[in-house]
Amino acid sequence: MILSLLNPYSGQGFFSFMKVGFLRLIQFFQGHLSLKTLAPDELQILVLSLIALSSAIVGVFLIHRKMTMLANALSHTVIFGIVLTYLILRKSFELIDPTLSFKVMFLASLVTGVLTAFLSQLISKISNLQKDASIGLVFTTFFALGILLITLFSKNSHIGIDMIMGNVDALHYKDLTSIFYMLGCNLLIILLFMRGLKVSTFDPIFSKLAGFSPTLFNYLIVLQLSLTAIGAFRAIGVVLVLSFFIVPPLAAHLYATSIEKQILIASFIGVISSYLGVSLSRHLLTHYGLALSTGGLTVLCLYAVYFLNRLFYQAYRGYKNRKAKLAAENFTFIKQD
Amino acid sequence: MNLNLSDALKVDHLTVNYDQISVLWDISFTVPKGKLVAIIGPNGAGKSTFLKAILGLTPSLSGQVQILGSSKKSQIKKVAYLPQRESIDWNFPITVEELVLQGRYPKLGLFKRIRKRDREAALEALNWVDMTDYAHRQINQLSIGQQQRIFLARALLQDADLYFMDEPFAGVDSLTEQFIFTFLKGLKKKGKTLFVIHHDIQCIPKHFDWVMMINARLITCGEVSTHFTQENLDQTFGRNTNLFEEVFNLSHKKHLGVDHS
Amino acid sequence: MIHYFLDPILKAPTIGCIAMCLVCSLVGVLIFIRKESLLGETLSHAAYPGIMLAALLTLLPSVKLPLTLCILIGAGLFSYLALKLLDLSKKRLKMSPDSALSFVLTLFFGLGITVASLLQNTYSLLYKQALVFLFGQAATITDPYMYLSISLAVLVVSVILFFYREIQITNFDPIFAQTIGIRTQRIDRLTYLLMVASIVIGIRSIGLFLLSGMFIAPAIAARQWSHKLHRMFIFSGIIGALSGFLGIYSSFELSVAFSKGGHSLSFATGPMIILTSSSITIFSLLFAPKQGWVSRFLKIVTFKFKCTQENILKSLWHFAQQTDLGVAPQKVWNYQSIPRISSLLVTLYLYLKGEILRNKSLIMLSPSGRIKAQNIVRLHRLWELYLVHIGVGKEKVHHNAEEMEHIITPHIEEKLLKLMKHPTKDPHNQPIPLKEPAL
Repeated sequence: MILSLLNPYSGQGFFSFMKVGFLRLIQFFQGHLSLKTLAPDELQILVLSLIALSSAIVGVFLIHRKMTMLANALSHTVIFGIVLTYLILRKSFELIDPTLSFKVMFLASLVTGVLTAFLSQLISKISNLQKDASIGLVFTTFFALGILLITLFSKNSHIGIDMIMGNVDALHYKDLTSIFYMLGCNLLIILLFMRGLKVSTFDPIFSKLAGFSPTLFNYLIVLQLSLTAIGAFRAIGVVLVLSFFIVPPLAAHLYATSIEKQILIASFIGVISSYLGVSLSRHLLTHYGLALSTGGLTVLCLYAVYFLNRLFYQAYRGYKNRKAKLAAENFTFIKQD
Repeated sequence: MNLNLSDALKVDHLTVNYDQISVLWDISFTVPKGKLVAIIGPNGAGKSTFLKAILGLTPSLSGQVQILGSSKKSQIKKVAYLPQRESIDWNFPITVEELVLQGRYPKLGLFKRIRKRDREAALEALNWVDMTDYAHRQINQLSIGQQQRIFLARALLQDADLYFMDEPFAGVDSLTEQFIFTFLKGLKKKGKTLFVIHHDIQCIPKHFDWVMMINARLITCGEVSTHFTQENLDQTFGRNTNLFEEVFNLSHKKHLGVDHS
Repeated sequence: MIHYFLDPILKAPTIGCIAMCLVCSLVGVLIFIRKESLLGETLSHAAYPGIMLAALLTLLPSVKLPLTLCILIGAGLFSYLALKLLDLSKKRLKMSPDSALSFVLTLFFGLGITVASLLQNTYSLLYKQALVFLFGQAATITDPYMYLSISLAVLVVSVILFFYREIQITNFDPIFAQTIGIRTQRIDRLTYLLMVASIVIGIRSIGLFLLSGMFIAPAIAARQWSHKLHRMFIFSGIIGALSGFLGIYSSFELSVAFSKGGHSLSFATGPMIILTSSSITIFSLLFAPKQGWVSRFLKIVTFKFKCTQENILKSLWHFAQQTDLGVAPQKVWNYQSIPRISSLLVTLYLYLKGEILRNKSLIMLSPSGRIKAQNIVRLHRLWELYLVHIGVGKEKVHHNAEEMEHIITPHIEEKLLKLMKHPTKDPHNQPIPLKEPAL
């Protein structure tokens, strides 16, 4: 990592941040800079944007399938999965190895995701229990197990906190690789299966009749969900990844006329918020000496964008309604003539 | 008499256990092609479950279903199912045209591309239901009657031979109701067989030519002229089957190991 | 174990934990019956910014309250705010309840993380003190805090008792409740306030990350033991209190047991409490007498065993109509198409019970067996008659009667007889055997 003294962004405020970034972007395209000489702030923006892109893809489907609480549950069980993976691989817990290879991540996400979803359904069905209670039982138990393992095997309880809250400022260049792969996986899946995903979300019965098994697509979404959560936990922690899943798609829903558009708009919102979060964090550090969590700030930016969107949309709708009303009145007026 | 090729639907000993609610028992019947069939019965008596069981959407304990003479799973693609309005999320971001195009998916599968002729067929289907102007509208901008029409259009595009509809007339205005009936009769003339779960008993002799009465078991299945009798209606909607239901539920609980207190 | 309640160091943590877990498990029943089990997750996580902001506020010279009190007030306040925002999201932003819960959760949590980072980097001592409420730290609960938890616990229990009747009716029949004048909205609000109160009470021992588990698991377990509301409360409370105690107990004992030679493994209390309550819940799911999976599985097996017995007796009865000599067992088994092993076992069992007699390689009914078999046939034919009575075709009744003959209780039998006025012949014109008392 580049020392902060050499960080071109240190000492920048909100607008000078933009300037520096822009200049460096030009230099990048001119070939003077490469990914290896990425400044920490740029790394953060990139990682967060990639997470935002992945999350937008999965999040749109989660919202429409009403699976957001399952997503919450899954992100908690993911902690258990990650801890277990580390233990099994016997890597030293003290330095959470950022090079946790992609294959292991993939496996861990597969197992935890499917296990959680499967167990919740099983308990719900056999005991005739309401779905939210069975999901709750499964994830709180696994989460407790995960935390127990963390506190047992790590002398520094900070590690546990970092897993839950993430630490954007501790991101490593090597995180990029795994996150790229994760995004790649997600993109591949939705490009291939967009049709099946859309239909099984909108009309599961029709989907089954057409030969697209809704259960298969359910587990596909669970897989993508776990993968993204695991990919994101180092940066923003497991609880906040949920905000990337739901806030941009909710905001995008207002304008979207198709699922594809909703994903695009959500991605856009997520990327913008990532940029805003990082530059805001830098600005506060520079001008006020406040070292705030970049992850937290990014999430707050997501919500700010959501609420602005909402206000703007209300205003726009109000404007359109008034226009229509006026037109209608004019029409009747002319008719009476 | 039981020439397989002429029967739209043949069901043998269908029994469905569905948690602790509506259960279907030992249902057997045959319906020939080209009929407009009304399915009636008390609420919660298993009509929707019946439909779903035939379509293979609910696991059934036993029984065999033959669609157009074959019990192969792929036969299900010859069936169009119009869902209940409540089961659809009307805020889903999708245009009318895209929804209707879904009717092609059984044939195209997961990956084959949508071609120009598919889009043209979709527009034609929309034309049939008088909704061409709405092709690019979002579905949350439609009225109830319009919503039903676009599902009909999707079913048309499927080019199915059997149509199953669950309360298609619920909440629909009389104009749309007329339209739908005319439309269904038109389909019937083309040799399609239509199954409609309906709640308005009075109008059955007027529009339908075949009737099925269900109350956990099949009371009757046959031509309206001969089977739509007061006696059958009493047995379907009457109260003298309390003991039957009681024993039925008891058996069900015993098989699930649940206490019957 | 008793020393946990007496030892001056262990007393406060133990009793404090028990009180806290008791409260959470009781309120958990309330939200369970309202089908809002995951509400605890959102509200407890929402307390995070409250805790951190409260800690920050204590830095102001004008604030004279102790840190703990400030934090508790902050937690409660923000939990309450989350409730209001939830309501708003569902009504004004038109979100589904599912999305609203996640929406509010991450908003408050993101806020919490941001404020926490401020605290962490500038006032790390205060931050460490606030952390205690995130992960819980039962071991450092002091006596004053214990008394606080006990009084709050007593308050919550009293409120539940006082409003018990309204709670019961509102949650099981809200329309009826309104007709007899219960203001259901008041009970709704009360439930949510109790929720906030229990979060405030509980975070010190279990921590806000794991607290939601305490609202979910004991309630699920309680339902496995009873469906009646008052019993659910009692069971849930007992399980909660037990989890609290066993959690602390195991946490301490295990930590001590594993601390050898300078190496220390500490089993954190929070997770141990949750794991204890989950274990009790899983045990309840499996073994509770009426609803446990194992119990139900055993009941099914027993029932199927009984059916096979009755089927064999019944076939023997039919064979006896044709010949006075016995029948080869294989013939009976084939007649009923029962698999080999179970048929052998059942036949042996019937023989030992004395309902079958053996004559060389043939078997036949004993007098007591004959009576039993006759009763089965009787029920079978009665049922067939009933089915025809309600309009089922004669050809179809046999199949169903084969199933129901094992189900019909004497009570139902009486109703059948009454309904059909003591018939003597079944639809196939076979005589309905009279009922004979068992030997």
